[in-house]
Amino acid sequence: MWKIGLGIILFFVFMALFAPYLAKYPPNRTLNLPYQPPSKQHWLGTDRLGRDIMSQVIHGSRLSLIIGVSTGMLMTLIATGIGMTAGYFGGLLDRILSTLMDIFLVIPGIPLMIVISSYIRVKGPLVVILVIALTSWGSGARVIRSQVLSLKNREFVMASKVTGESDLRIIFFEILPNMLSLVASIFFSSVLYAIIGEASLSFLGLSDVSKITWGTMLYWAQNANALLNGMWYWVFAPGLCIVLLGSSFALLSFSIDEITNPRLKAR
Amino acid sequence: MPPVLRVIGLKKEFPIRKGFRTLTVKALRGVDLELNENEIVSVVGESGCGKTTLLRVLARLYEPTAGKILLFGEELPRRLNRKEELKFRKLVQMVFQDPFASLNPTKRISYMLERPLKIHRIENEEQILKNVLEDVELTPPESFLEKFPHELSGGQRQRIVFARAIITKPKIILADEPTSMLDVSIKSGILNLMLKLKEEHGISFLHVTHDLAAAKYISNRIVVMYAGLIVEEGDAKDIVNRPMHPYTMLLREAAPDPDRGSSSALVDVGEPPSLIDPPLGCPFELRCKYAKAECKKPVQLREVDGRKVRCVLY
Amino acid sequence: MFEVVKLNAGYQFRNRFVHAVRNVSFKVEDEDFFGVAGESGCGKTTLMLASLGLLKRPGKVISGQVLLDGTDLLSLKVSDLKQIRWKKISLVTQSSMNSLNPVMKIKDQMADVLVKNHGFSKNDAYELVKEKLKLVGITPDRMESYPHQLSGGMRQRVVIAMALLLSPKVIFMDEPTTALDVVVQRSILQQIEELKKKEHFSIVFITHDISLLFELATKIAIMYAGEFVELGEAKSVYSQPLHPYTKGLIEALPSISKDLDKYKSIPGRPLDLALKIEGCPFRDRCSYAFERCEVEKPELRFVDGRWVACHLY
Repeated sequence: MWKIGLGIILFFVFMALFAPYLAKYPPNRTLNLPYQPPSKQHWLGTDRLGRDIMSQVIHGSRLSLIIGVSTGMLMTLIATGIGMTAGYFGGLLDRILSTLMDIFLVIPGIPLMIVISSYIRVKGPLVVILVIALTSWGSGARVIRSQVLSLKNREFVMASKVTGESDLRIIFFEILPNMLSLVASIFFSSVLYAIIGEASLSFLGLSDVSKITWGTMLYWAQNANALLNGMWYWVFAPGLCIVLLGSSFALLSFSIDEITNPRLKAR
Repeated sequence: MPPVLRVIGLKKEFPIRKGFRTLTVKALRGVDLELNENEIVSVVGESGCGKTTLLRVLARLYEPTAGKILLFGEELPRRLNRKEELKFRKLVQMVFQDPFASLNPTKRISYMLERPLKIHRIENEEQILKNVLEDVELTPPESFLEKFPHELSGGQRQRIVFARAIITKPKIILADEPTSMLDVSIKSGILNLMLKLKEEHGISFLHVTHDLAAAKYISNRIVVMYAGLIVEEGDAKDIVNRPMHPYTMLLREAAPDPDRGSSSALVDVGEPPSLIDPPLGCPFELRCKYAKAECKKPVQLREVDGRKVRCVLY
Repeated sequence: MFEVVKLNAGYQFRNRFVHAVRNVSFKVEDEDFFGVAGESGCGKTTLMLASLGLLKRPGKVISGQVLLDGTDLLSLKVSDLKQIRWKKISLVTQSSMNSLNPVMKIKDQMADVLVKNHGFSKNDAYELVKEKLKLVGITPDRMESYPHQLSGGMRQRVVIAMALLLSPKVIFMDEPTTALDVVVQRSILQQIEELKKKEHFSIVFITHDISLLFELATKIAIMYAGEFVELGEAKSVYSQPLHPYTKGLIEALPSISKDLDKYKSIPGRPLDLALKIEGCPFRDRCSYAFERCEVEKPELRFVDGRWVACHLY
């Protein structure tokens, strides 16, 4: 299962790395008349500024991947940091952090992101990363906290305390190594969430729509009423890429269990 | 010579939430104990009697609710700064029940043995590691250093756990059922190891177990706990051969004994009392065949014939 | 009455076969308390599962017979085996008390089997359940309880009552009291003894707690590396052990009544059952081993009224 996911990701990474060589044209250059249908010159036609859509798809992989992965990393970092602190130290700190987690969990992510984005004047990939990461770390943190709670009472943690290890060392060197597969799984699902999140925000015009990502392509396609005007390929191409990349991370997230838990390995 | 470890009036209560109310579980209800130099004291009792809690409070994994703990005659304050805590951890070590769970599965043996040395800034690591592995009879030492816990057998893992415990040259080891998860043929190896460490390294053990026969084998004294209190204490062999408290008699009768002539008529379907609302008087009163009216009032631990018993019969 | 003949069973993995039960044979007579003692990894649980036809993939039986009143259980169809299970032969395991359905009252769980598989009416089923629960010392008012409302000891009694529902002739018990405290264990075992006399069944009791078996069993089998290395009357095996492994085990057990100075452990570790074993499986740990033990595997021989697999005899 995970091999398929990995394959798809590598495909897109390849696409992103070698975009200038793979794309026929620069994605930003007006080359032809706008709204041209697919032809031999332009496999997916042209957009409202006469730019080659196919090249945009290929170049779009860059920012889509970068934003997705960076956001995923930031989300995982926040979730792990807060989750481990809450789980290990317990008491008042735990109650405060848990309440914080709950607040962010209860408020629906995407509407929150939309509201925040519409108020921020500055727009750009960094803002998108921050907005998504800072609103959606809640569920990862909860999961990590639960795992830490159960690991905390395992005898090797008590043994470390009795040996005289400091709390910080116990958290990072004793407990965290036993949670690596969980953290990896949270990372992969965070990236999936981030990819969808970026696409949603861009589609609604809440990111910097002058940048080229699959999400911003959808924005422009919608702007031009692409589906009503028969330019279904303009929606289909970036949409398919989003789905494929997202699913590949989902596959990795599910299969992490398969890799680490031998009992779930396929017979 | 003052006792190495002395506990006075130790109490430990745990709050638990049931719905909207908070109840307290009184796990330890006033325990007095002494551990002398070169001595093994076994604490026996069934689950819920408080023996594991006692050990964990002494290991400073839990904070006591009340009572005093004296180490080498000096009282331990509630809070210790880092330096004092390290001093304590150098002298008092702990060994756990599950040899697999008490070793971090992601670390090599060498790492786990080096950590205490690094924390306490003890030099000459290489030699000490070799010595300590030889002390626990894991030879040749080199072959064990690079292994992971899952590559060793249960008995070997438990020896590593002991190696880690003795590496800082402690005076006291708190042993929480160290043999209960080991096979029969391996158990006595670990029991013999404890005796050897006591004799050759001058380490005193506070040994928690439910196995009365093992307690009789290695201990100088046995302490019997029930429902958070000590009910009997005395010389190990003496207590098992001539139990005084009715609960100790029950434990003795219930223990497997291949040399027992015929099955005794033990029909006890009772259970220990709830620790949330423990009885005011003798904790064993409801199950005791000798119970009298005065057992409903609090019973003190009294010295009788070199033994300590908490029972109105004496 | 119940006999296992030359049973071989194990677990088939991709590139190796773990031969957990090696040529085991034994007989259980009426009202026997037959104990199987062995340490972890010796194959005793596999033996039990194989005898009851409960071995699931990757486990499988290679050869041998399990005869109950002359019928070979291993040759029966699954549907016929289901009829016999619970009626003539039943099972109590260590985890049974934790496998009770948490959302059903115990009376319903117990009656369930009777109504669904054996054609009882609900009322008749409840009556039988009440009767058997009384036998194990559980009062009828407890029938309405859910498993979590009962203590560990009581849950195990419920499981034993379930095993007794249809008055089977043989009951297998795999570490039924290991997870319980020693006092509860003793009272349950005493109850089992009384029930055995009253209801006339035999017990095959599997455990690693050898002192318990020496005290309670009539016949005992010592299992090592998938085989029975000694088999005979429990009391005489204890007082005069023949096989070096049995001797080692007895010398390793601290006794509660004797005042010995030293107990010895057995050096080495148990064998990996995936490997083919040349000669005697115990020879690496045996202080009496000699050249013959390296080459020739000792067969079970009848010595002094007992079966022993050792070249010393």
